[in-house]
Amino acid sequence: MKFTLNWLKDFVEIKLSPQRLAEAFTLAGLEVTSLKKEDNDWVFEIEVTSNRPDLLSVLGIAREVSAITGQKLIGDSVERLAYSKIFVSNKKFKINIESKEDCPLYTAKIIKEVKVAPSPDWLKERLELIGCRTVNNIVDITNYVMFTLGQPLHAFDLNRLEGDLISVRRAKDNESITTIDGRVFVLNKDVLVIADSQRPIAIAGIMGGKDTEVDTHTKDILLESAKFNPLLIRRMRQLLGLVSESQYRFERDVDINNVIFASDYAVNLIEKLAGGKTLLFKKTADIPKKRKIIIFNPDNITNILGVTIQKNKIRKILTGLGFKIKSFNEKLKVEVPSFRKDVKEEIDLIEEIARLWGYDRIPKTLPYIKPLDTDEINRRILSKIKNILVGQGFFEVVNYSLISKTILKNLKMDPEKALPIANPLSNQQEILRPSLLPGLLFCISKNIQHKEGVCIFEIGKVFEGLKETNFLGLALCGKKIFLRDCGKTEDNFTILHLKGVVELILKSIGIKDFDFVLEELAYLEEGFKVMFAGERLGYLGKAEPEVVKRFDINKKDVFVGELNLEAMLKFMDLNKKYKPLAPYPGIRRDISLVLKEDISLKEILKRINNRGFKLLKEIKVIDFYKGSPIPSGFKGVTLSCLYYSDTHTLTDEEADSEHSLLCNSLKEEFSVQFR
Amino acid sequence: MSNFNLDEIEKNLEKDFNTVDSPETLENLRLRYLGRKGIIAQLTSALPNFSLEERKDLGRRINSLKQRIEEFLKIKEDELKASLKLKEKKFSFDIGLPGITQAVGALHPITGMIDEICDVFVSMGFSVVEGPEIETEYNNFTGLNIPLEHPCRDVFDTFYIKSQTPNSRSQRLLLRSHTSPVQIRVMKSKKPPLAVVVPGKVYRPDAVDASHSFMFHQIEGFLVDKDVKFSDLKGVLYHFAKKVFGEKIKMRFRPHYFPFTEPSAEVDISCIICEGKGCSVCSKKGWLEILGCGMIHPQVLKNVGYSPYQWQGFAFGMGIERIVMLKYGIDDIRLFFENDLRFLEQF
Repeated sequence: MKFTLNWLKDFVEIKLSPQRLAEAFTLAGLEVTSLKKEDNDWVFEIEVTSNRPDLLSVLGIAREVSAITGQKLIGDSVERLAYSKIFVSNKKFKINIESKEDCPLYTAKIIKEVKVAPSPDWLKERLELIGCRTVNNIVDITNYVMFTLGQPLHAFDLNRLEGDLISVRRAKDNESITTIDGRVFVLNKDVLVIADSQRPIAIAGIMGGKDTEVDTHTKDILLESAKFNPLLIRRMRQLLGLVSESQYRFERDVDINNVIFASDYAVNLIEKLAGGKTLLFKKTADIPKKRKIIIFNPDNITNILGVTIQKNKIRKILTGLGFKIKSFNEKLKVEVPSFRKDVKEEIDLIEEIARLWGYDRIPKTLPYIKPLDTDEINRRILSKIKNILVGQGFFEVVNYSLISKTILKNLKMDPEKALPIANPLSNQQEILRPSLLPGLLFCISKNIQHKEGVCIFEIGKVFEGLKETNFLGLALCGKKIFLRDCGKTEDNFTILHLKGVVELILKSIGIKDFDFVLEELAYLEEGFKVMFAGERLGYLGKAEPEVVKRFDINKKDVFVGELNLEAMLKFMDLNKKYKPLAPYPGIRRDISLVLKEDISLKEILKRINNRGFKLLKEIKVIDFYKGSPIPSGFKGVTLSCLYYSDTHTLTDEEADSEHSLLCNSLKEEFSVQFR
Repeated sequence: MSNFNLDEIEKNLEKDFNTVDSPETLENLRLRYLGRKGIIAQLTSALPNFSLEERKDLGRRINSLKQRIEEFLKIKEDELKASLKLKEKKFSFDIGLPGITQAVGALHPITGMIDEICDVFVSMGFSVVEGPEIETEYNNFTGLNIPLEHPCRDVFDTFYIKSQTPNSRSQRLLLRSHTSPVQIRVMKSKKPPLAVVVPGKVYRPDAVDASHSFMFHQIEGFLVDKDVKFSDLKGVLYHFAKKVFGEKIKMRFRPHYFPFTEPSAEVDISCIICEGKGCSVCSKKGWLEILGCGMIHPQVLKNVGYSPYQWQGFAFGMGIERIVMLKYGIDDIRLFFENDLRFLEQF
């Protein structure tokens, strides 16, 4: 809402400087978004919240100034506006209202023999300062009154109306109208129109028709001032995509008590600036006299705000805002003015008092907080997992949860299974992601163009039908960087780098006996599911080259994995138990062996562990080799075995005897050869 | 002794000796203070001009000054010797070479900030709760006292889920447009007193540009107890602002309108770039808006089955992207979701 300082001064004396006034507005909840000096005036723009349509008028803002500064409204300036003489003619003129719900009040005045001309300079200046286009004196007056009092008005050229009739009705299907901005609208029964006996002459509350607009040829006018159903105006705005200053006010609702007052003021100005005689005034309803009363206990101010405000201050604030205090005992009986529809109950009055007394004068206190029983474990665990990943060189990414169907098709996933958005902005954000993979591959694609190696993770929801589950996504591509600042690289990432990180994470939360089991997935060339206690925790693998290519990643392997965090947290086991350190030194024996390529080390280690060698306390793979001199179809492996006893220092003989048992069993069961 | 300001000499002593970087500069200082026509000599020769009383006092001061000078000379001499020795020593490597480390990654600045903010509230006794991103129209709007068709909903344009089965209006599903529906969920499922913060993603159909995104992050917080007051809200948020933005931060509460709180406020902090003097970031206002808050509306309490005569509460909500952008001087919200490593590496 824009207005000028001089305009405001018509209604209330202002002693503050414009800057101080702006600050006072802001601190009272009328945030000043701009303040500019123009010619001899100052133009304010304030943000009016949707609950305060009364502030969409200079008079409404003047009331706030009055409540802020304690300066009374200039009384006669307001009353003077209302003065108007009505010459009732014999002319038969009818207003038909189809539905009182659509239009609770419609008033019309007929003013004859006006002289349409440019507005006087003062009027033009004020409208131009607040960015309103000036047209001619009649149109400008209707706008001026709207900005002054908040009640939109419309003037029709009376002689272009057909018949002595105005009807406020729903449009018929396929009726059309050209509005004053030159647009043509084909209407239907969802649109309320003002019509003469033949056709719509205005879209009610939003914009008038071009046919009947006031121009330099106009002699007689019909001046409309009315109240329309705000919800209806809102729907019409959405339906037609048509907005206007008038629509904006009707959608936020106008004060029924203001309708005739505004019309009188306009007539007053018209007679003064354009001559003419008012011949007729018609209205379709009487104005309700009843006012809302709120019973208000001032003790509740202290209960809610934490500060005590003196009674006379409360009285001053409320009366300054136009409330009437009917009785002032233990409890207050407060009458709400008709323009403050937003004030419905006690708490609303408390806010009024708080904001004008000053939020900054309310002290700062700290409440007693009783911690909830819910423990913080999941947040701590997630944080731990994230820190491990960061320590391993992974960067966290955050991708959009809304994606395109195309990107899923590129991943060989079925886009029709994903949950669609009813009103997407574009087909780039039409479904909810069923996987973190699209985002991760997109990030790899973007970064691998300027980085030798990329390793990233994301924690976020994935959507399967209406079910949403937190997942951890991992992706690796290119080279592993070990000198961060100079970007020196080691080997290319392999699936083992990914496997290693997955193992590290699972072990960190106490999940130990998990297993990687081969799995066929359309988007993976080689894939494994991660299994624990018969449940699938997720997968990892090497992305399918064709899929990778569709993401513009060229000639590089991408390793990806996703873990279901909720399943992981379900199985996590944070109990730790101390194992005594070995009291006697152990003996280490290494074996280098050659075995068939299709035998997995997983099998060998499992078998050895199951055999239950008593002295064998640890066995690990310390070297792995393929290629010459190992014949093709075979692989070379070095295992390191640690033997020790809990009761004495082991002798070489004891160790050797168990070690040779182990070697024999390897030879027999897997036909390995020793090197 | 008018041409000697003893105070001044004592004050400048340390500064003078800190400029020593060679035996020559040290020798010059020695001469200046202790030389035959040095400062001490001059001070001493001026003594007879004073009364006996004054001489006693001045004499003592000159002596202690002399002692300090000698100490400084000794220290500096030792330092020069040590550094000379180091210069002669040969090193096998160049310390200018990059250090060898495991390459580390980084948290995304958004989640990093969420953690930081949650930690502040957790330290005050709040619990962290998360809620679903797919919500009912009731929890997102109606339960929060936001009428379905009202201008106050215009700031909450919403993505709806295309549903196969027609639901009743209030059960229509949508992507939550703020984190406030979690208020409804938590209050419906738990009994007060409650102190909860809720971080998470929210969605609004805004076309993407430098300051808009259809997906962003919020943190919601609320506290319900028997006699929670607006003054408590101010105290809690002030503590938060000091922890996140620094001890010097100033805070201002401006009245505002939210359907789910009454009284409501928007909160500004003094601009963290210019400290309130006015700059381009704060549009010369000296203030930056960072969050919305207020006392939970009695209607919202009724909606979750709490009696507003028994319980009171406050609630607040803030956009994380905005706070991160202000804190690190980021001018384009799209950077957060482009995930360029050259951006992520900086946090």
